[in-house]
Amino acid sequence: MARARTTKTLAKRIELDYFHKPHALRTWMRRLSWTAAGLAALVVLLALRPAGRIAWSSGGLTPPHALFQADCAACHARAAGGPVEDAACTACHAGPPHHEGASKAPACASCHEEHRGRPLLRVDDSHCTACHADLKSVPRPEPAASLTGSAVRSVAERVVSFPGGHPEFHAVSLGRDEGRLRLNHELHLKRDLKGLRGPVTLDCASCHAGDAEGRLMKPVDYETHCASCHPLTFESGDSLPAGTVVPHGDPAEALRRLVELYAGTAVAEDDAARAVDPVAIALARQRARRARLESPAYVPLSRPPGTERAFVVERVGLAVRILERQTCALCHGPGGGEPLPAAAPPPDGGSILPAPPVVPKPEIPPSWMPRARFAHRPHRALACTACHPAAGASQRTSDVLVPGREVCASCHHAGGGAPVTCVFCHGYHVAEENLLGPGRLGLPRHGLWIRGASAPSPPAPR
Amino acid sequence: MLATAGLAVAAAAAYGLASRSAPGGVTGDSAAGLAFGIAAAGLMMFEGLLAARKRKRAWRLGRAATWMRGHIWLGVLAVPLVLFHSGFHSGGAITTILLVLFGLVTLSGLFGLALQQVLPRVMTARVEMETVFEQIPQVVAQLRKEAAERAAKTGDPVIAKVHREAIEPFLLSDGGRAQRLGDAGRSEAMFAELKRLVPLAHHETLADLAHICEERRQLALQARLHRWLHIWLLVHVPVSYALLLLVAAHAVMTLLY
Repeated sequence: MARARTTKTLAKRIELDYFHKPHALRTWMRRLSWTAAGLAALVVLLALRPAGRIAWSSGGLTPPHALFQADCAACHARAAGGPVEDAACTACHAGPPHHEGASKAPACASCHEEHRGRPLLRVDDSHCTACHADLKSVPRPEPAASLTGSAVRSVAERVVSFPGGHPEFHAVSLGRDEGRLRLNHELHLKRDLKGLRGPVTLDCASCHAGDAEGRLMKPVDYETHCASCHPLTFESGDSLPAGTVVPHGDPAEALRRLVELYAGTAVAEDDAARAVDPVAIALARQRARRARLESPAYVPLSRPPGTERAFVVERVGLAVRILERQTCALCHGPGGGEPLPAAAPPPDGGSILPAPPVVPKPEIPPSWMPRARFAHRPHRALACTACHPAAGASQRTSDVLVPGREVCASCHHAGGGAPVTCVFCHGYHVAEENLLGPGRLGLPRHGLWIRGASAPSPPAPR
Repeated sequence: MLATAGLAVAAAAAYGLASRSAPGGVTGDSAAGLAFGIAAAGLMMFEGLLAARKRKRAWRLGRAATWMRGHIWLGVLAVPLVLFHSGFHSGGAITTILLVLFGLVTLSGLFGLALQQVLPRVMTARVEMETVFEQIPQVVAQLRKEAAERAAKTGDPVIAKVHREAIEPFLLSDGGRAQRLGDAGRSEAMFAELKRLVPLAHHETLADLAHICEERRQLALQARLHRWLHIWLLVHVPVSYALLLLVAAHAVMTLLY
């Protein structure tokens, strides 16, 4: 008989209470569920221990903060929600404010994001461009005419990235170097220049040397870099030894030196105590020196008694005119053979001596990028002309030789290999005063400084 | 599906806006991050309610199919919400564990969903003699008994030998293809050969025995398909319990700090 598969026969095969009986799938699901829940509960309990609290962290701490990584309350307030309060940061780190004109001061933790496993100083550009992409809160003073001006400098209204969204550097955008020291780079870089001791060939390093930190170039110093070829001579005759010079830097001191030089005729020192004007004092000292048979520094002159004063005054006057028209004017003058500006007469009618030469300040800024953090040392593999290509052909002081944005952007761009973030070149905590808290640990700014010691100040412009 | 897609797009747009306005991007403790986190946690709680709904069928809280659709689509929606909440960072130990568990739950669920789109049709097409899965052993036992009775009834020595050496071992096995009778083609060939060896009067019994073997093969296939259809639940459900527990702890601890 063929098999019959009727509904009844099929139904009779099924036990009526089969769904009450345990089944492997349901049994194992129940066991695994209890096991998983138990493991989760165990993880929670282990993480609630003081030593396990780090498990709740949303990410690794930076190494300097690792010493209190298990003490969340060291930074986080216990109140529900809310970010880390600034007081928790400034208790150790007294960061100065960014700018007194800033419309809002973000919280420390909004820029310095912990628990990301990366250095806190690595601040994303978006923190900067949040304001600087459309800057409205900074006071709008008149643009400074020079980099050495103490007035508030202009601030770009829109900076979104580098180099594309960054304005041209201020020094370059000025279009001219405001320095008042005449210098022809092209002339100085020629071969076999006529030096005092023979032919001289200069290069960049002959005058420009880096500072000890490897950041900026040390100021060019007359005594070190210029005096060997440009002595401050003043004598057109032969009354003084060849090469006699006046000191550099202080015209009044130069005048005093001239007086002393030309008062080389012997004058009794005791007369110096009674003398009043500088000519008489110098003459008296020289006379005393000769009287002591000291080796005179000057060629003694035979002058008839009574004519010494007139001689000194005349010669000093001649020397000052030489300095004004030739020696000092070569570098400090307006150029084209023009002399230095005439000195104003003294208010009391003047002494018999001429006023010292009026030498304009060179106005050479100590830094061409005072708002940026630049160091020459990382760029030492490059030749000077790689970034300063115009220096070799520059004939005028007004030529701007500092590189512009595009030169930096040749390496400092996205994918270029060199860093390109805002904070790599610019600092945020730039103010020196009004520190925000009692913290004893300073913040890195162009190097390290510790609160309590004065921060290194850039040298004043000369 | 459209609603889920729309909500996902809206969440992505909100995340994009929040990222642009928040320097450093969205983090878990930012306003946007918290909103995403709360929404994701809420969805996870709803996902867990499906188990309760299945247990309380008598309550009739909406159709089971509707609940299942909600479970699937809202579970998919939770994925971008979790990622937006985390800011695409794994964070510390607990949050990393949470992401791993969430990934396991989601992937196992999607795996099961994919299987459930295919295997039921296969079962309908190839398992005509389907029975209650939990009763397969009982049904197989009855098949053994039936086969033994029919083979003994003929008194034919060939049939008795075949039953003893092939059919009974096959019915006792898992019904897989390792056995000769586990393959339909080979089984058919064997019974066709037997028809030449036994008298015509016993051909009907041979046909019944062949039918019994066919039923056993189908029940074996049904068991395999059923296991595939449900084995992923052994990952999905337990891990979900762990995930819900840790999510609750994570929410409490982050609110405390």
